[in-house]
Amino acid sequence: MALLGTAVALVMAAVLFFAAVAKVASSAPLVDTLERLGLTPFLARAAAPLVPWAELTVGVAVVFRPDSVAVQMGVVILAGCFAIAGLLAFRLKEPVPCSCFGTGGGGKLGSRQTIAFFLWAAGVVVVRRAHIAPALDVGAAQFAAVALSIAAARAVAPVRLWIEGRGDRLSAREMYAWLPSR
Amino acid sequence: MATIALIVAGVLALLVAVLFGALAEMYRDIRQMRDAIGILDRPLPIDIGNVAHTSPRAHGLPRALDSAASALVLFLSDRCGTCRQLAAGLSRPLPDGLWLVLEARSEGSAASFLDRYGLSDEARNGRLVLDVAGDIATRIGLQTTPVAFRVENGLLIQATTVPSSRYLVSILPEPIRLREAG
Repeated sequence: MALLGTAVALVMAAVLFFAAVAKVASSAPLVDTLERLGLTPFLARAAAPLVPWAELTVGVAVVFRPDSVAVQMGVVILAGCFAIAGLLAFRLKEPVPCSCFGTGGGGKLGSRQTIAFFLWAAGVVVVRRAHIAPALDVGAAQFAAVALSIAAARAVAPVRLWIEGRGDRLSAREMYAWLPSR
Repeated sequence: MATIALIVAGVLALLVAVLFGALAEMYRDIRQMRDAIGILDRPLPIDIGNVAHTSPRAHGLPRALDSAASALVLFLSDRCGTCRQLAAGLSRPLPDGLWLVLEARSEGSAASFLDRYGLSDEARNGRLVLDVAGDIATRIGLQTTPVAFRVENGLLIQATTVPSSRYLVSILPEPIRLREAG
């Protein structure tokens, strides 16, 4: 049970880290989403930077203190906020972009976030029943492992775009050679 | 000490993940700019004049093309960067309906090109024609590469430059098959 609890806690932390770093890189899509959900532009701009930091804080806390009730409540509250946003979007007639994972994700807010709430809640139940309380050095190792995994996963997009961009640049160079002859 | 080092490594990994996101954003911006100024995968149509509606064999191309319902003849040169990029991106064996003509400065450079891009088998089975002296290109009046000629019902119909592998894949002839009756 402890192994399962640790695995679930690390997966939850990884999802939170991934979402946080994506939003830190570009908060504009999140501001747009919050405005569409009904927040004033001022409030949306003020709230958008807080979301990734909340995700990051809860993610770090889940790695180091998964046994803490406050941390478990933090996960549930965060997931609850996402579910409420999903429900609000569900009531709107127009689709609202999720911006859950920055500009890379093209999903829409809606039922997914509501379903995800139950998954988060189930994860918290598993972690709570596992009674895991890693030592600081173990937590640090797990934090480093999760963070490195996130960095590796995030490297995929720029590498793919770099290869595509290089192909476009070579094509453009060839086209410059053709154009004067026309 | 090790604990602190692991935490620092984790924080740095998250920072790198954020930077990867920023880098991906930058590549997307560059792509948008290339798109706006029209240097992204823009093929140029080629006026083939008297070559239109003539038999491929009349220009030294393989006899099999005269009976092809739909085919694409791609002219590559060992001297052009985009041609090398296209050659590297080709699947082996070649896609159905794709034939290659390789213009080369000498037999040695042609052999080197074939070896480098794994096209020797295609040359042996006749899907790749070597044009060492430039005979085929001269007969057609072709002065630029990479260029693709479309063959329909055994006749050369039109030609276009091929700026990238992505564009080449998009113009490959794909036979539309009927569903089996019953």
